[in-house]
Amino acid sequence: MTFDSLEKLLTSEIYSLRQKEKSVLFDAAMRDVVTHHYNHCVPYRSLCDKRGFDISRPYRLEELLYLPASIFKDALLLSMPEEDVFRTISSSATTTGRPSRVALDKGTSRRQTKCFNKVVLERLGNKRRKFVVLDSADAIGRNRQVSARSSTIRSLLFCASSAETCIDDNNGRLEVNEEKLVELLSQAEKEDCGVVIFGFTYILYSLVVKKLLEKKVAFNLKGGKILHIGGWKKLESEKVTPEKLISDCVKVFGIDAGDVVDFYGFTEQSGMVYPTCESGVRHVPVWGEIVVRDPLSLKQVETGEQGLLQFITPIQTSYPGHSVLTEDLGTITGIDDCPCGRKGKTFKVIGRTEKAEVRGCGDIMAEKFA
Amino acid sequence: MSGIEKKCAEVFSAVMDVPIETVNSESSPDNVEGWDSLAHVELISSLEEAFSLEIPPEDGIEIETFGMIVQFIRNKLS
Repeated sequence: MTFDSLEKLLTSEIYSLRQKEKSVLFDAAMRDVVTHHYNHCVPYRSLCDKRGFDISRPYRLEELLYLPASIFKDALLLSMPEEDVFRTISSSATTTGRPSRVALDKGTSRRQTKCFNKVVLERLGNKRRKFVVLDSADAIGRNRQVSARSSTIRSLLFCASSAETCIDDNNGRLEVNEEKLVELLSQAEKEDCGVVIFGFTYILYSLVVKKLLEKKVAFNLKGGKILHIGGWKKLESEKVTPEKLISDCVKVFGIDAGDVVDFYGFTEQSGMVYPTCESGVRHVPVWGEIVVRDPLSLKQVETGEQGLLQFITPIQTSYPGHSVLTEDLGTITGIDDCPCGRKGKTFKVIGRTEKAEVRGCGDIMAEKFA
Repeated sequence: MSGIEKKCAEVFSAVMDVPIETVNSESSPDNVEGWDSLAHVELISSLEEAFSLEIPPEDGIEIETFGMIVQFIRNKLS
């Protein structure tokens, strides 16, 4: 099956179109993909029918049926024949203990990789850089078994010219190899090579930044970038805010605040990644959309109001992950007006809902196989 | 096999750890087991070294088959 409107959307500049211009392309691609899921995923069709969502009539994006992220913990939904499953991705299941699972065919896998790579390159620049990976050597080694953490790290290596690690894994306990870290960063400072320091948020702060601050060790890595990804939960308990992480990174690594980049994404829409821009907000790419909903009524809220984040994208055609209501709270911060120059909607992620699984979605869960 | 193709196949075979005679224009991550993201980094670096040229990441991500590697290198060297 071909998705011409989707392929056309994917050739567009990521953040150049104004919201109105983008919507024309985006809506066309979404309509084709929604029809595809309706025709090829029986549980999704059944849900649409039960909820009276008629795919043949005109609808606005906020009217599009959404699936709660938690539904992917209970069922492997497919919009393709089972024999076409090329790869299954599982989340790390840190919050509920149950991983989300999604299945990819070759087309979806290829599309997700391309979208991910394009966003990363747009933020990092089209130059291969030296990577210092804040993880153990196993995380980037050639192993048959790949953990979710390792898979995330590897996905960014396409823009690396080389990759070195500096964390020791002592039977599951991660400890920074301080001597190696200082050696790698000193070398990068000397070479003035625009090094990329990359790791999970908690590891970056607790094992590296905090230690270097305590020891009063600092570098001048101007032109380099700090990339981090992963939850803030553990750091919140240590009272470390995003602002503190940025200011401490600036102190320790001597880079610009705009070069500390926080990546956000989730398994149910793999391939979609939202790095913070130089102004500290996240941008929705041309192949994505965002709606914010009141946590109780699940009605759409206005720009600037806080609520649950719903992400919409046509890039997955192998499973109905095109409209997912997450358990993350956030707010839309603007449209076409970011000082960094990128167009479209911007948003901030504030944190997780206190109750792990989204309230008000029980009816969807109950109906999922009806 | 032309000179460029042969050299590409040698590099590819060494990085992916597959016999050179199994490498063909359709070889891709779908049918070469070792062609993962890390192997891709190694492949690009090895090609840069072998042909003394620079392959920016944007070009690197477009390479999806061995045939595309050969075509890309030919275009770069022409």
